Amino acid sequence: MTRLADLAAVLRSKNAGPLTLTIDIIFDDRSRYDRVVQSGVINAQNISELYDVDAGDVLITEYAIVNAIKVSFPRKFVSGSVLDDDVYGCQQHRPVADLEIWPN
Amino acid sequence: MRIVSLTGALGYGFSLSALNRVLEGHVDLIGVDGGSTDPGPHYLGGGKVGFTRESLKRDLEVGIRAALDKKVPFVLGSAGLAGGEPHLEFIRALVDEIAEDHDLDFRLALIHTELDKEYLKARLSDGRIVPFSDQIELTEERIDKSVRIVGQVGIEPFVEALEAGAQVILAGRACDTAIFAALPISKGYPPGLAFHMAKVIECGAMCAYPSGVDVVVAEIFDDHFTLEPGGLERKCTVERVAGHTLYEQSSPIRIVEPHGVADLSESRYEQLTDRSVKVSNSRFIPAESKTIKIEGAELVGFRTICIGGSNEPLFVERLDEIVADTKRFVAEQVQDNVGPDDYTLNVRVYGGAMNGAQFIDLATAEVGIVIDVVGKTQAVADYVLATARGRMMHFDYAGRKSTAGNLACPYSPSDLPLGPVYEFSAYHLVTVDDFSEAYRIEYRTVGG
Repeated sequence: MTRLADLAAVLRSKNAGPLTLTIDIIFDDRSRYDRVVQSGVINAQNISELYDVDAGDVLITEYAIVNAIKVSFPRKFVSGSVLDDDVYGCQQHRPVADLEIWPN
Repeated sequence: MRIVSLTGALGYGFSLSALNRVLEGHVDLIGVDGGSTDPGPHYLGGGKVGFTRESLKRDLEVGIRAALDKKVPFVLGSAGLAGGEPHLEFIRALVDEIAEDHDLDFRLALIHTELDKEYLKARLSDGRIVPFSDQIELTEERIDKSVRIVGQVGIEPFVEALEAGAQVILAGRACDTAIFAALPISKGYPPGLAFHMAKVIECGAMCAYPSGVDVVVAEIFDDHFTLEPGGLERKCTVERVAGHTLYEQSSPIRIVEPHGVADLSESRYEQLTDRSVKVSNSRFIPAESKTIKIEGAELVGFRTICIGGSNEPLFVERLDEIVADTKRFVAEQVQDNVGPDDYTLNVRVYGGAMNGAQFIDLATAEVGIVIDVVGKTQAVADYVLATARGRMMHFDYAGRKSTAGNLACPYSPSDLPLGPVYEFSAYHLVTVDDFSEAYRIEYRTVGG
């Protein structure tokens, strides 16, 4: 089984402002990028289930120039609010890391 | 036109040799970004400056002296991290000190960006303040309750101050891009290119390999711009520069500005030399209305925490149940003095089955626990925390063998008061008739 984290060279999350979490998935080469894009696994429905957000609020941008996929969605808790556990949002990549990517 | 960005944020530092290298050539402006909402609402709410006084003073001192020496403007945006009045005042006082230390004289512009609450309430009732999402509801009451609300100004006050001959410009909260894009746009360079250039250099040498908090220089022309890091050990590469627009942005191809959007979907990147990159074809799409993003923070209580740990398998196995019991116990114990709305008790568990991992091996598991209480006063937080800590420490769960105490606490005192807690109370867009509604410029003569 191949996980997304096995294919990505960079897999990171971060705030994009205090309301939004953004995940960057960057690949070293076009073939891995294409394989993940074509797998269709990075879709709003999957992100919605993994992060408990409305699928309609998930923005996915394929940025082929650097072999990257960007996923952005609203934070469950606003950065730094009483129940938030990651002010910078930089350790929220794990749920997508384990997504299974089937061979083409 | 050649523009220098000192580093990723004022206070991070940068290399003198990198700066001196870029200053060998012609430059038109030295700028640096000072702020972010990234470290959370505490700084805006508490009036606290990010970074240390020493690191801020060092970066300002080197930057301002270099700019005066080259007879070009020095521009700082989002002073003191959050860009409110206390933050701007802190930086202004540092700049005064620097002027005195080095016998400097210059014309200073202070761009104030804290917004008047009555103005905001009027805009709110006119329906001219809109949210990005439903995460924060802005009401008249919340505006009143906010410690302060700042607006992220765009290029306009910078252009105004530059045209008025200011040599040092210190701005409150500002779009990162405005610091660097104001001058080229005011001189007629295309805004799409100027904003794209500014977006890349506002993080300093993050766009280089190896990346770092260091000097980068951009040169803008009529139909492209180029980027080069100051330090010879770094190089700008197409991958790094194109990849940089992913960072801390929800979209890598749209930079939203107060009067439009820079569209990078057709941008072209070329390796110019070994160390520099050329960028072209970035466009600007003007918006129909003028908007200012506002940020507010409100006091929501006071925090006390206790940190403890356990590697007892029986405790770790029953942790969910122990946490639930603790919450129940605390509610009952404190009810004569403190109501359920007067505090939030949150038990944060590290090392347990969290964040996607389904199973843990109890034989080797060790958990870290933060008992976290936010109360309406510090006394309430202290009281609730002590009650929760006592229960968790001594709770006699089923099958317990380690009957002397459940938590290894590393500190005496075990209960740590952390003081006031702020939350973002506003992160909205205000539609303005004129951008000058969002700022006030004050000119001063320093030294001389």
